[in-house]
Order: sequence, then C-alpha cells, then structure tokens
Amino acid sequence: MNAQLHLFDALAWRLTQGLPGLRMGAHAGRIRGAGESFADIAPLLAHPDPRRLDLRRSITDPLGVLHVRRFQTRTDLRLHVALDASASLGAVAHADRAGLARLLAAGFAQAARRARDPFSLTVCAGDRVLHDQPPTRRSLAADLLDLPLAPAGRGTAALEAMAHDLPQERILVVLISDFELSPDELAALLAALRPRPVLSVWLRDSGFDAPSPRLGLAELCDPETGRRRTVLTTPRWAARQAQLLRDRQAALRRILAEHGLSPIEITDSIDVAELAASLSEAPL
Amino acid sequence: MTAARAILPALAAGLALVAAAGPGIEGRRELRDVLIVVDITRSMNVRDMDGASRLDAARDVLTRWIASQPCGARVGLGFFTERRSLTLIEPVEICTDYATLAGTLAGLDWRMAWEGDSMISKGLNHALNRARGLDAALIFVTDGQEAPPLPYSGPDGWREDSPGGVVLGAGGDQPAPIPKFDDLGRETGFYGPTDVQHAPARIGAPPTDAADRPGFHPRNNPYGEADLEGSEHLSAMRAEYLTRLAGERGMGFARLSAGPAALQATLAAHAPARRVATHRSLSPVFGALALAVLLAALLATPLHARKETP
Amino acid sequence: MIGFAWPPALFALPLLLLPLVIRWLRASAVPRLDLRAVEGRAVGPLLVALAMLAPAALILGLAQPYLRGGSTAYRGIGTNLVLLIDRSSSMDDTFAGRSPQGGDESKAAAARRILLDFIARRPDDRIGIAAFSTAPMLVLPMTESRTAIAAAVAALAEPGLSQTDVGRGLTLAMGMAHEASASDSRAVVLVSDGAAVIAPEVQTALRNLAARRQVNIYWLYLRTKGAKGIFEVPEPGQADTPHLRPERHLHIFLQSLGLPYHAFEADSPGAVEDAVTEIGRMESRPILTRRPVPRRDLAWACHLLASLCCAALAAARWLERRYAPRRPAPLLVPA
Repeated sequence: MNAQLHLFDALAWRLTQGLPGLRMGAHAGRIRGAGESFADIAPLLAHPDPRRLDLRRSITDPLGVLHVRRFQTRTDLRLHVALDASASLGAVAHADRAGLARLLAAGFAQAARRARDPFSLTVCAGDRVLHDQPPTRRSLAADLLDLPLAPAGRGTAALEAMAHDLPQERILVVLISDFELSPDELAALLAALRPRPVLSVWLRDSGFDAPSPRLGLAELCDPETGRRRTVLTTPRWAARQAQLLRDRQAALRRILAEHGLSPIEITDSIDVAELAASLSEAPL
Repeated sequence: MTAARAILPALAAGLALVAAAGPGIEGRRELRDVLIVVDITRSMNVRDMDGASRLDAARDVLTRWIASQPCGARVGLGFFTERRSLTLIEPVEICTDYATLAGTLAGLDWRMAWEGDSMISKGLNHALNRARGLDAALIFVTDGQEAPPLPYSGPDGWREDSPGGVVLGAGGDQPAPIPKFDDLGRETGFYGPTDVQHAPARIGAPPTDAADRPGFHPRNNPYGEADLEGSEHLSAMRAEYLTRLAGERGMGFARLSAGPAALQATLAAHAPARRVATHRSLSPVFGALALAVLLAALLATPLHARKETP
Repeated sequence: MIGFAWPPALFALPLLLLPLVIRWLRASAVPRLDLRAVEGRAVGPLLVALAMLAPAALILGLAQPYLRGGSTAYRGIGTNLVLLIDRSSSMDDTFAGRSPQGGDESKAAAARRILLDFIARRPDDRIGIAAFSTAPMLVLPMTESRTAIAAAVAALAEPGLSQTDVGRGLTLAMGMAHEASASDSRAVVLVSDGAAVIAPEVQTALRNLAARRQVNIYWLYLRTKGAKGIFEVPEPGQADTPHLRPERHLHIFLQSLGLPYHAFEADSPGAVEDAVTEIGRMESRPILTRRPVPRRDLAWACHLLASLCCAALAAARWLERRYAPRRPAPLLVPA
C-alpha cells in the first residue's frame, strides 16, 4: 500500500477565492506582489516596485502616471482532514470503509506534502476525538497508513466541536464520512463548518444500498446504538429497503447542495484517477 | 461450524421427539402380594409400645409399610381372633385402593372379635391356608399370648405347603397388664390374676411332669394342681414362641417395634416374589441429551458473531 | 395439581435465561437501523421466546411432571349405600336349609353374586360394607373404589361365623351411613337370613340414631325353607314373643323407627334379584359423589413442545442470512 501512495500525488485542489497570507505556497493569494500570474496594474505610488514597471501602460498614460504590473502572490493552504469514524464506519458489506478512510487520509497527507501545504487531521468517533494531528509539513502519509482506527461512538458531536476550533481562513476541510446521518444531523454539521471551504468525501458501501431479496431471517445490529432487529427478509422488504435508502441519499445530496457542496462519492473502492478528476471539478 | 449450527438444533428436535414418543426398556420388578392378618384379641390392647397400644402401633407400622410398597403390589386385610382369621378385603392393588386399605386398617378394633379366645397356632394355620388360597404371603401380627394357655400337647403343627410370610411380634418384653373393658367399650381397669385361666383346660394327655405336681393322684387328679396361679393376666411378647411357630411354617419373625423397614426385609427373605415386567422409560435420557445438544447449538454461534461490533 | 417425579431437575431452570444473553442468530452490523425503518419487530422476541421455551420444556420434561391423580366430585344418580351382611354360619346353607351340594348355591353365594351385579350396574353409588355375627365388623369404609368394593364382597365368600347380633350391626351400619354424607340420600341394606333379639340398650341407641338423621332402611330377608316369614302374623293362641319370632319382631321394631323402611322376603335367588332391582329403583337419587382421576403423565407434552421449539429454531438457523454478504472489495481499484 505504501508503494501506491504516490498515486495520490496527482490530487490537487484550487480555491476560487484568493487567500490572505504571507507564507509562500501553491495557492492563489489575495495579496498582490511578486508571482507568476498577472493580476492587475497599479500606480507606482501605490505599489512602489519599479522592477515591474509596465512601460507600455506608462507611456500611453495621458497623465504620465507610472504604472507597475502587479502579480498574484502564491500562498499556502492548510489541508485539514476531518474523519468521521463513528461506529457505523466499521460495518462491512462490500467495502472496508474504515480502510478506505485511512487510505484517503494518508493520500491527502501525501498530496498536501506534494503541494507543500500544511496538513492536519482529526479523527472523531462520536463525541470523542480519537486522533488529533496539529498542522505539520512533515510527511505523515506512511504513518497514517498504520493509524489505528477503531470506529466507535455515535453522532457528530466531536466533529462539530472540532469545527469551532478550526481557523476560519486559509483552510480547506476535507470531510471524510460515510454520511450515515439523518439530513438534520448533516445540516447541523455543515452549518458548523461554514464558512470554510469544505470538500466532502462520501464513503459508500454498495452492499448496504440494496439487501438481497432472498427469503430469510436476518439479525441486524446497529453498531452505533447496539440496537437489534430480527427481520424476515423478503423481496418486497428488500425493495422497500432499497427505495428508502435511495430517498435518504437524495435528501442528503440536497442538503449538501444547499451548502454549495457536491460530494465526491467513493463506492466500495478508490479509483484515484477519478478522484483526482472530481477533485479538480469540485466547487471550492 | 456453520453446518453444526443448523444441524444441532434439528438433532435436538429429533431427540426431544423421541423422548416424547416415550421409548423404554423392559425391566423386572419384584412384587409381593400379602394378606395382612391382625390379632385383635384383648392382649393386643396392652399399652406397651411407647405408650400406644399394640393394636395402634400395628396399625401405624402397617399403614406406613403399605405406603412404602411399589404400585402393583396387592394387599388384603383380615383379622384374627378365637381360632380362625376372617378376611375383610381380598388383596387389592395398593396404589388404587390405598385409602380404602388405610380406612379398613384404622377400623380394626378389638370389639370386632366374636370370641375372647386367642388360639394363635390355630389362627395362624387358618390364616396361612387363607393366604395360600388367595395366592399371597401372610403377615400375621400378634403378641403370641395364647388364651387359654396351650394344651399340654403343645401348639398345632403345620404339614402343608406354606405361602411364606412374616410373623410380626407386637408388644414389649416386660409383662404388662391387660386393660379390661365393659360391654359398652369403657375401660374398667386391668385383668387380675383371678380373671384368667393360667393353665390349659384339663382335657387331653396330662403333662409329663404331672407326677411332681402338688396334689397329683394317678386316678383322681392326673394333672396335679398347677393351674391355680400364674401370670397369664400379664402379657409380654412371646418372641421365642413366635419364632418357633414362624420357623415351622417357613415364615420369618420380625418385631413390630423395628418398624416397616425390618418388616420389608424379613418379608423379602421369607416370601416368594411375583416378578412383573415393568416399562422403564428412556424419555429422561433422550430429554437430557436433547437439552445438552440444544445448549451446544446455542453456544455454537461464534462469540464474535453474536454481537458484531467493529 | 401438578407434581414432579424428579424435582431436582428444576434446579437447571436458570439455564433458560441464557438465550437472553446469547442470541440465537448471528448478528450482522447494519448502520443506522433507525433510519432504515426495518420492520419485523415481532420476529426477534419470538426467537428469544422459542430459545427460552425449548430448554424450559426440556428441563420440565426431565422433572417428569404429572397431574396428580385423585378424585373429582360430580353429580351422579345413586345413593350412599351401606351393605350390612349377615356372616352367621347359617348363610352358608342353601335356601332349602341344607349344606350346598353339587350345583346348589348357598344363600351367601347367591347374595354375593347378586350384590356384585347390583354394584356393577350402579357406578355412582358410594358403598360401605359392614358385617355382623356375634360382633359387628367394619369391613369397608364408604368408598367409590369399585375394585375395593369387589374385593370386600369377594372376601365374604369365607365361611361364616357363629351367631347373629343384628342390633349392633345395625348400629354400626347406620353410623356409617350417617357419616357418609350430610346432604345426599343414605340407605342401609340389611341382608340376613335370620334375626335375633335386640337388647334394650341397643334399641335405644338405634332409636337415637334414627331420630338424628334420615336413613332409608331395606331388609332383604333370605327366608330358608321352613322358617317363619316376617309378614306372617301368628294365629291367635300361638306364642308371639321376640325370642320365638325374632324376624317378625325385628320387622316391627324397624317399622317403629319412623324411617323409610322396606322389607323384602326372598326364598330363592330369583326373588333376591327382584328385590335388589326394586331397591335399586328406589335408591336412584341425585348424589354428589367422586370419581377417581388417574395420575396423568405430562412429560411427553413437554418433550413434544420442546421438539417443536427446537424444530422452529433449526428452521431459523436454516433461514439465517446477513443483511448483505460480507465481501469487502479491494481498497484501490486496480489500475
């Protein structure tokens, strides 16, 4: 797995708005100055940098005011991975979602390192924080692959608490979750994260989307609440389950859309190329 | 493991079904049919069985003995007085008719006696004949006090086939006074030395030692004067005499005071048993197996699968 | 009432709590059941109940429960009947007054046979038997048990005893009838071939008994050939004293008791049968009696129930499946 981490080098993210900040990085800064991409032209008096004098503009200026070209500064962006490791993440059918989450965290760490961005990580299990990594520029990816991840707890209390402690600016929050949440819970979580740019990664297990229609008895156990139900499984029951799930997923997507988010859905396993493609298209 | 989880409960169901069907093995059980004959003569009223009269003690021990017998055994009831026994109930199965037997036994009373005499060897022979006719062994409860005393020729013998059984000796070893009742059944004291006969009637052959007795005269008084005084007004259990009577008749002797267990042991040694086939159910065995298999089936679910939590 | 043949097995009953802790089916984790609206709430408790019921039934079966036998009260048609039988030695003669020879039937044997028939025809009677010769004898306390009654009647086959003291016998029989029941009808049937003088104090006792409670009295007089009848009034001039005509005077005495009283004179087995049938017809009244209930084994039912439960549990295991099969895909889509 370690060898495959380089696949994640391709991940890149670009925010639509410039960022305030002085540290050199790979992202468009709000401050005008030296850089590679042209921003605008300003009077020399306002921006006394005669090295970037725009001769053509200065000559054609009817008032003879000297103008300098201003460039976008490049600044860095903290990448914060928020991992929702509530107990539901441990339910396995067709996907090892805990493993997926761990690999994704490591992949984003790898990508952040490549982009020379600081990386931080919070693993929340219900109302407990399992793991808290302060921002660092060290290479964490390999360590994260071995991160002990025991999904536990229920709800999003720790995630919301974490959101309050995060800085408001120069941060991109990657929310990795199975989104086994009710629409209300999701809305509350997203409201807590606002106004930070959020990249939502939805880990899906196709096995739970549609139970098999064979007749039988299934003892179901909710890993979060420990609640049990023994159900008689029939084709009708299976169809109703699938329909209910589709409705709920549609509701969740609507909530995300209301917050200007379009989730990156990862079903069963990660296709890095596709991930990179959807990442570049994600509205941030 | 998965196969076992489905097969074990099915196996338990099968075993329980077999248990419900009630399989069994043939067993043998020894039963002894018995005719109980109780002496109800007046000496049985002596209260020397821990304060209770001999008759009451006999009733108590016999009731407990009947209750201890296995179902299927048959018990009949009679009593003895004068020179014969009278059967009240022919042997009946004790589990069905225990209440009746206990009621009749409780109704045994000295007032039933149609005569005051107590000729035990004759009565015993009569009862043995009766028991043999009923195909039962005999339990004969008596204190061994012959009244009037045995003739000089001694007790009656026994020369026939004996059905076996037990002579159950009632009473203590110390001579005790015999209560006396009037016509209406009220106790009026005890028999005195002058109320009873102390020697056999002067009929039949005279005793061999008659010549040594006072007043002996070969023609005018061939019996001598030996019957003027004695202790026949007091009564003790004549264990030696009863043992002899029992031995001659292929019966055992037990003391009433030793209780139902001793009676049962003696009876087992001296009465032939009727062997009956019994059905010993194997249901409990199959039921226990089914329970064990069911518990195994319950525990067959692996621990991690009982509560799947990551 | 339920009893147990082997109660120690009941100590294993706590085992039936195990299914509350150990589930019968293996669980599969499904996130957010509350959002999935899974139905079928009743199946789970049903399985737990089955898994508890099966060992419970097996343990009960091991304890071998049974319904205690006993008796149950019911209303029948009959009476509380006390048979008072003459055991004097004259009963062993025939109606002709001779010792039975060849095919002859003695009075006792005829009475025994006819009474056994009579008892067999009347299943609801409670019957007690008393006998008398010189002394009264309680043979059989009041009972419903037909086997005991038959055994006691059969024992009457033994040769009889000496004399006849009918008075004390009547006292005993009437006492038994008194104790038999407080509300239902009571009857004493005296079967004898003779009578004797009743002593004055016994007469008083009988009159006291008769005044206390009503008892129907029947006298079945087995008249030997040549004996004087009970209804015959002696011709004038002939002696008419209790000592010479005890039967007639017993009849007069019984009539004087003020109780319902019927006398039958029978001089042949056929006449005895007719008389007994007539008594049976008159003594058919509602009676609260008891019927024996045999002990009934219940273990087979427990085992059958356990078998059904186990079969259902086996079927549940056979139907067992996961919500979705556990087949995790590789983390990365192979390139």
